[in-house]
Amino acid sequence: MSQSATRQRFSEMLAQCEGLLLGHARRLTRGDDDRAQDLVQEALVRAYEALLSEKFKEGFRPCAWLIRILTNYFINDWRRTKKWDAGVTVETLTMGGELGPTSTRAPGVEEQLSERTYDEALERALAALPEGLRLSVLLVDVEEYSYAEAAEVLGVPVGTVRSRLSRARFALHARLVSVAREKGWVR
Amino acid sequence: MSELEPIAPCRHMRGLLSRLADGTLSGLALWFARQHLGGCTRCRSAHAALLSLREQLARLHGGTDRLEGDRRERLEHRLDALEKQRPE
Repeated sequence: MSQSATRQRFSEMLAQCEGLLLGHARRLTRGDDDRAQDLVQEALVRAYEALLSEKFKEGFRPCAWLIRILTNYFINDWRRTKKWDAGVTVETLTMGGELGPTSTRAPGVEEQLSERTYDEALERALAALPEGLRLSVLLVDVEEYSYAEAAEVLGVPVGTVRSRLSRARFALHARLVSVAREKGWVR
Repeated sequence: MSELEPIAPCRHMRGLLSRLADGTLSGLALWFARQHLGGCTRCRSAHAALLSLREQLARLHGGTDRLEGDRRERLEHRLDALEKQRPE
């Protein structure tokens, strides 16, 4: 494939997957939008390099392939810098910009239970999970990877992904129940 | 106000319920899990909670954000540079 055709292919992949990549990167970085943008940029450079080297095979799902490159880059970056626990700015987790700092006005019941509020609680619960559990949930439950695909990306056996998912799901639910009680949504 | 409890299935069902919820359980384990759920309210409730949680997580998939302008520009420059390193 010529370079111009490869570039065109890459642009199409980017148009299709950019939002998904940024959403995934923001979760990986626990809401650090600046770092998420850097992460996506670096991953895209690596992806283009791989595309030029014809490492993308027909039959791959483009977005899953890019998510995999992004996740690998994140894991390698962490191993280099041990910065997985860098500043958490969970307020940014449910945006494109629509959710600002928490309002001081007491919200109504409908607002409390709105989808956005629930999503924020869920994002916070996700951000609070230990890394191994969090990555397993992000890949399998959010990005729809199979256990085998997630195991390959994370470099662990399938059984480990399975047990991490189980622990993560129970932990997430427990956290959501706790938040719901704190907010007075439930008894 | 509704009641909500943390998921508390029977201990031996924790792993099975998680896999039942994502559809990866099969064979004898699947049969056993279904049999157990038929007679255990606590595990049925835990299973329903896990299904609901997975639905919520799946809804986080996707996004509409875009790379910021200067980053997009830098990306394009870096892609140009990669092409120059590999003459056709």
